[in-house]
Amino acid sequence: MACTLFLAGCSGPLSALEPEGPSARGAATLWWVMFYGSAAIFVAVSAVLAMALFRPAPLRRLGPEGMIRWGGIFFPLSNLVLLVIAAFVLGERLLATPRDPAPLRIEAVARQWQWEFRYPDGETSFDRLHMPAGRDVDFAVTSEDVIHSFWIPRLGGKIDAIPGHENVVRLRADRPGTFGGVCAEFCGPGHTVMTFTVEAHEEEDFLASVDELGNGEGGQ
Amino acid sequence: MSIEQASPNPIRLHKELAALWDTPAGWGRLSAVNHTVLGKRFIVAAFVFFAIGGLLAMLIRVQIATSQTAFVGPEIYGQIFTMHGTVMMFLFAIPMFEGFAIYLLPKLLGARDLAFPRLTAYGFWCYIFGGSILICAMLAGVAPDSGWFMYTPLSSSTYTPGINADVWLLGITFVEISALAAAVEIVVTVLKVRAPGMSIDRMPIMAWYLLITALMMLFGFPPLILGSILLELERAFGLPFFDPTRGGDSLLWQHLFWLFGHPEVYIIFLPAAGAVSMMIPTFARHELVGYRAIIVAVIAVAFLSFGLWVHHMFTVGIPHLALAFFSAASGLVAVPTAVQIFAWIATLAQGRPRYDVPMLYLGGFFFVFVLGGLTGVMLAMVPFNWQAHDTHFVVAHLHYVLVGGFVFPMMAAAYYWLPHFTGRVSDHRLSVPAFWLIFGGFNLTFFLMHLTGLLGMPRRVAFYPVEAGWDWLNLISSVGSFLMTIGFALFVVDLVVQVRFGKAFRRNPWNARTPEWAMPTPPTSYAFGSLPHIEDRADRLDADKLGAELAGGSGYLGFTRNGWLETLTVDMTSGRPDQLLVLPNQTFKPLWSGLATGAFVLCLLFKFYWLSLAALALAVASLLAWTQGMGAREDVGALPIGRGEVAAPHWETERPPSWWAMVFCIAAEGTLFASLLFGALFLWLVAPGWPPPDAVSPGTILPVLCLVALGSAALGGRGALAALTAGNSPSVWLMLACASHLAAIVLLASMAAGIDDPTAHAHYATAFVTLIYAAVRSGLGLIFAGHGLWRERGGYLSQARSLDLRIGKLWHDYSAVTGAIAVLAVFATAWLVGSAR
Amino acid sequence: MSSPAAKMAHGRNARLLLMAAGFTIWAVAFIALYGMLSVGCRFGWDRIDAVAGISVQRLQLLVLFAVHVAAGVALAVGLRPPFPREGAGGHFVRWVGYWAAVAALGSTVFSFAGVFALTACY
Repeated sequence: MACTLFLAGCSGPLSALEPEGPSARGAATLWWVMFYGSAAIFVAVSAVLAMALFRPAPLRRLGPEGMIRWGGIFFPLSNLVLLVIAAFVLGERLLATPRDPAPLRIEAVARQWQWEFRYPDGETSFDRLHMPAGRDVDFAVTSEDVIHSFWIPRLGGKIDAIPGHENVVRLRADRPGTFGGVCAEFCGPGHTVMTFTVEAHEEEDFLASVDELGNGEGGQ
Repeated sequence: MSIEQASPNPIRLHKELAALWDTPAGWGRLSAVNHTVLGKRFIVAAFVFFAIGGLLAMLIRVQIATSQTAFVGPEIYGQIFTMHGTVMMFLFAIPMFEGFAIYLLPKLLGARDLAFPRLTAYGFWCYIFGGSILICAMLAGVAPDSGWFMYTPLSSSTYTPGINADVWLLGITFVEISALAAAVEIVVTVLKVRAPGMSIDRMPIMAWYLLITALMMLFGFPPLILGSILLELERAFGLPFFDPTRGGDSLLWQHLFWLFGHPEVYIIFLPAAGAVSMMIPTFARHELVGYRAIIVAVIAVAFLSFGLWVHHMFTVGIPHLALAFFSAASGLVAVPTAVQIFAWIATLAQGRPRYDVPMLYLGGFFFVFVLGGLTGVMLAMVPFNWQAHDTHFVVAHLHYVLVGGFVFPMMAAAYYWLPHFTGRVSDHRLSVPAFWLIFGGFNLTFFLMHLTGLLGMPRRVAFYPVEAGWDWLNLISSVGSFLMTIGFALFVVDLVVQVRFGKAFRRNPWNARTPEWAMPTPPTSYAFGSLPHIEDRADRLDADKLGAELAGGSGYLGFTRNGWLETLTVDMTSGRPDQLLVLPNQTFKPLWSGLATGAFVLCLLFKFYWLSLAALALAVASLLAWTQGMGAREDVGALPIGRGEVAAPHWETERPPSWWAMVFCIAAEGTLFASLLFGALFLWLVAPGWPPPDAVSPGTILPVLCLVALGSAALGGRGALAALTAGNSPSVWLMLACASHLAAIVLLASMAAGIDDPTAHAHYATAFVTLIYAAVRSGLGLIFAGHGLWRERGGYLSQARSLDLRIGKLWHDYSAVTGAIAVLAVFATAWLVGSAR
Repeated sequence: MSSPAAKMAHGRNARLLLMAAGFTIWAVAFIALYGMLSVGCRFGWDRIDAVAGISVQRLQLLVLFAVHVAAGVALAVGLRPPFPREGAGGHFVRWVGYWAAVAALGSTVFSFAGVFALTACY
C-alpha cells in the first residue's frame, strides 16, 4: 500500500512486502503499522532532544522526574502494551493448531542442498513445490543433516528445518501463481543456491501436477 | 578537605611512587601489570582487531555489491563473514570495553590500580594469544566458516571435518578466559577498591554501569563456555550432546549460545551508555539527573537481557506462549533504555549545553541507536520476526544497535578521554569531516538494508540473481560502507595527529567534575599521589583543586613504605576505609601463565591430548607460583594510612578482595555447572532419540563413598580454618582435605568409568561429563588444600593471616556441595530415563 | 573470629542484594514458567482437562504466575517507604531496592500475562 508512496520497489519475487497469503499479509500489515509508529516516535524523541538543546524552558517546567516518568516509562510502556497485544493476537491466528478437518499436509525435507517435498500419496518433488491455492496447507518441515529454514516470503513466515525435529507451518496462497522460496538459515557452501520454486495451482491443476510427479519428476 | 599530615615535597613523593609503580623499559615492558599501561594495550589491540574486522566487512560489501561482483566462492565467503562477526564481537567490542574499564576504573574510583593487576596482565595475554590463533588460522585459510553463531550440526565434525571449527571453539574460549578475568576484577574493584568516603551512592555513574556489566558477564559467558567445551568434546571424542542421531539436540547449542549471545549485546551497550552518562553532564554543565533512576534502569536491563535470548530462535518451533514470554521481555527492555535516554535529555534540558566534538559523536549515537532500538522492538514481535529473521533486515538492525550503541559512544569517549591519555587536546580539523563520513556512510550502508531484508534477501548468501531485484540496494550499501571506511581512516589519522601534535594542556580540559581528572595528564603510573576523601557524590568534585591537593600528598597514603604498592579498600556500602591493599609488583609471571595456557590450547587444537595434560599442569603450576612471596611471614597489625587513620594490610583481614574474587569465581563456575544440568534436563525433555536403551546405573556403594569423601573434604577445610584461628596447626585438617579430595576424584572417575560407552547416547555422555566435571572441581580442591599446606610450611599462616585457608574453605564447601549435586543429578536423570520407558 | 563490627559489615554487604531481589523473583518466575511449560507440553498436559475447560497445563501455569506475582507484591510491600536511615549508602540501597522491586513486579505481569490466553503447546 504505502510502499509506492515512499519507494520505487517494494515488489520482487521474494518480497515480504508484496504478500500473497494471509500469513504474509498479517506480517506486512504489522510492519507498516510499526513503521509509521516508529517514524512518529523517532521524530517525537528527536524533537524532545532538539528542545532540550535549543528551547529547554518547557522541559524544565516538566522537570527531570516528569521527563523520565513520561518519556522513559509511560509513553514507551503504553505503546508496547498495544503493540504486544496486537502481535499476540496476530500470532495466534497463524499457528498450526490441530483442527477438523485437518488441512492438506505436505512434508518438506531439507538436506545439503536440496528441498524434497512429499505429498499425501507418496509423490515427491525436488526444489519445486506444488500447492493448492485458496486453502490452508500445513508444511511439516524437517532436515536430514544440518539446520535449514523453509521460507516463502510472499506467503508467510519461515520455519527452521531441524534434524530430529518436525516443525509445522501453516501457509495459504490466495491465488494461483509462482513464488520464490529460499533456505533462510546458513547451511554451508550451498546455502546460496538452496532455493526452490512454489507453484500454487487451482485445485484440479494441483491434483494433476502431483499425480504427474508419481510418474516422472521425482527422480531428479 | 582537612590536611592532618604534613605533606612531603610533592616532587620527592612523585619520584618515590614512580620508582615503585612505573613499568620498566625494554623487555621489562612485558612484565607490565599496571592498569594504565594494560588499558592502553587492550584498547590498541582491540582497535587493530576492529581494523581487521572492518577489512573483512569491506570484502563482504564487495562480494555482494551487485549480483555480478562476487569474487570468491561460498567456501571462502563463509570464512569471511564468520570471521567478521567473530572478530567484531569477541576480539573488538568486548576487549575494547575492557580496555576502557581497565584504564579508567581505578581513576574513577580514586584508587591507584585495580584489585588484581596480574590478572589484568594474564587476561591481556589470553586475549592476544587467543585472538592471534584466530587470525593465524584465517591467514592459513582455515578460519572458522560456520557463522559466528556456530550452529551445530553444521559445525560438528560430520559437516565441518577440518580444524576450522576447533579454531573458533578453542580460540574464543581462550579469549573468554580473559573476559571472565576482567569481569571478576571489575566487580571486586568497584565493590571494594574505592577512595575512602566513596559510599555506594557516591560512585561515578560509570562505575555502576561497569559493575552491573561485569556481573552480567559472570553469568552470561559461562553458558557459551560450556557449550564450546561440549561441542569440542563432541568433535574431538565423539561424546554426543548436539548430534540428533544419538540423543543430542542442535537446539541445545542454540540455547547455550544465545543465553550468552543476548546478554552479550547489553554487555557491549551498557559500558558505552556509562560513558555517555559521564560525558553528557560535562557538556550539559549540569550534574546527571536521575542518577538513582538510571541505576534501577540498568539493573532492570541486566536482568531482562537474560530473558530474551529466544528471540533469536523464534523460528525453531517453540510454542507460541513461550515465544510470548521472550517477545514481551524483548519489547520491555525498551523501557529502561528509554529511562536512560530521557535522563540524558533531561540533563541537557536542565543544563547549559556546550558544543564540542564528543557531543557531535553523541548526536550520532542518539540518532543511530534510537533507530536500532525501534527496529529491535519490531523484531521482538513474533509474526514480524518470522518474516524478518535471518534476512538483511536483522543485519541492518544489529548494526544500528551495535554501531549506534557502542561504536559512536566509544568514538565520543575517545575524543573525550584522549586528552587524559595523552595530555593533549584535538584541534577539531579532521574529527568533524570524519564524523560526517562515518555517520553518512553508516546510514547509507544500513538504512536501506532494512528494505533489502524485507525484499527477501537472506543473510550469508554468497551471491544472488539479478532477478531478485536487490542490486541497487546492495550497491548503495557498498558505496556507503566505503565512505564509512574513509571516515574511520580519517578518525585514525586525527587520533594520531592529536597524539603526536596536539596542544598540551595543564589539567581537565572539559572542566569535568569526576575523579579521573583530578590527576596530572597523561596520568602517572600510580594515578593519585595520595588518595582523596570523597565527601559528596563523585561527579560533583572540583577536580582541579582536588588534583593539586592530592599530588601534594595531602590525602591518604601520601607516602611510601617498605617498597609496597599501596591503595585502600572500603566497606562496600558506607565507603569507610577498612584495609590497606598491597598490590603486586611488575612481574613476568602472567606472561608465563598466558604462554602455558596458550600451549594447552594449541595442544588441544592440534590434538596432542597427552601433551596437553603437561601444558595444563604447567599452566596451573605457573598460576600457583603467583602466590609465591605474597603475604607476610609475621603479623604487622594496623598501619597508618594517613589523615590519622589506620588499617590492617589486606592479608590480615577477614574478607580482602581475593576472598571476594573467589566468591564471584564460584558464581561464574556455578553458572557453568548449572548450564550443564540445564543441558541434561533439556535433552531429556526435548531431544529426539530418547529414552536411550538403558539408563546409567551408578550403583550404590561408590556414590555413598563419594558423598562421604566430599563431605569430609569440606570438613577438612573448615577444621583447618578453625584450628588456625584457635592458634593451632591446621596441617592435619588440610591433609584430611587433601586425602578426601583425592578419594572423591578416584570415586567420581570410577563412576564415570563405569558408564559403558559414553559416546553411544547423550544420556551417557552428560552423566559422564557431569561426574568428570565434579572430579575436576575436587582436583582444584586438592590443589587448594595442598597450597594451604605449602603456605603453612612457608610460615605465611597465623591466627591473623588465615586468608589462604579462608579462600580454600570457600572452594572446599563449594566443590563438596556441587559434587553431591552432580552425583544426585546422575541418579535423577537415570530415574527420569527409567520412568519415561 | 568475626568481630561484631565485621558482622555488621557482612550484614550491610548482604543488604546490597536487596537491589537485585525484585528481578530475582522475575528471573525465577521466568525459569519456572518456561521450564514447566516445556514439561507440560512434553507430557500432553494441555490435552487434559482440569476444571471448567481449563487444561492442567494452563492451570499450573496460572498458579505459577500467581505465586510469583504474589511474591513480587510481598517484596514491594516489604520494602515500601519510608526508608529507614541506615548510615551512608543505606537509604540509597533501600530506595533502589524498592523501585527495582516495583519495576520487576511490573515486568513479571507484562512478561507472563500471556499465560491467560495464548496457545501453550503449538
